[in-house]
Amino acid sequence: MWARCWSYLTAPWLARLLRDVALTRGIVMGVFVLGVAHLLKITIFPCPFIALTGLPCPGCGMTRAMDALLHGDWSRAMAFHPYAPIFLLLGIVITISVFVPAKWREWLATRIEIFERSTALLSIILLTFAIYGLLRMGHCCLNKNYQPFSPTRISSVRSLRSDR
Amino acid sequence: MGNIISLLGLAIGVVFLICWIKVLIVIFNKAGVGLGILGIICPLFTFIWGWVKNAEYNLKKIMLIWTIAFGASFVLNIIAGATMVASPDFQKVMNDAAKAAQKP
Repeated sequence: MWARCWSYLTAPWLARLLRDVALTRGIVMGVFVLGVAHLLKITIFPCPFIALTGLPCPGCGMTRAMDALLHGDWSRAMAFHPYAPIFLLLGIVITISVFVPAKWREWLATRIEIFERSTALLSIILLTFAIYGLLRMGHCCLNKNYQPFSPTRISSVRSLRSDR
Repeated sequence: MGNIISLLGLAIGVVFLICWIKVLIVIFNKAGVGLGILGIICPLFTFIWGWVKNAEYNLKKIMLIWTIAFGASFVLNIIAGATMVASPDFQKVMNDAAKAAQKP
């Protein structure tokens, strides 16, 4: 039973994603639009989780961390989200797979599938990411001073004040 | 005004969350646990996956509702931002910040 559960949890996902050309193109386009909007200081895709609960979802802070990382500010990037460098690498791999010919993409997907099947590292990274997100959520839930910044909350002005 | 915006934001948040969870269930069932976790971590991925696979898994209705909620939240964010800037609390924060910046 444990072996079945383990194989279910560690099934290759990145290779599968890379083989789906429409999906990878959509992701690259979506991330590009999100990045441009972030540079223009516009929130075009608000996180549904934080909008409703006020708690950060596992991925909250990733855009700001990527921004800091691309500006070479490693400490700020780590403060926003420690998984940012890994996701930057994944983003680079996905972007490369969109622009290379189909033959090269298949070669890349096959290599990654072999790596995923032999090490299960990428699945472990995703699982630890989810666990980290849950722990952070719990920490914010227990921390009484925590106030999320959201423009739909007038009370967020108070958090702005405490930031200064 | 702030309360109305908060309530509208809450309603849109509920629609967002329901659509997100519905698409996530499809991802877990059809695309595996890895992409499912990726969908939990990144709602944008779930949104893109839903639109790319809408014909294959009959998700068009959910995706349309989600996209309308997405547009509404975008408009609401602009209104909320303008309301927040006009609020006395925000003005006070900005005045305090300006005074602090003037101090040597």
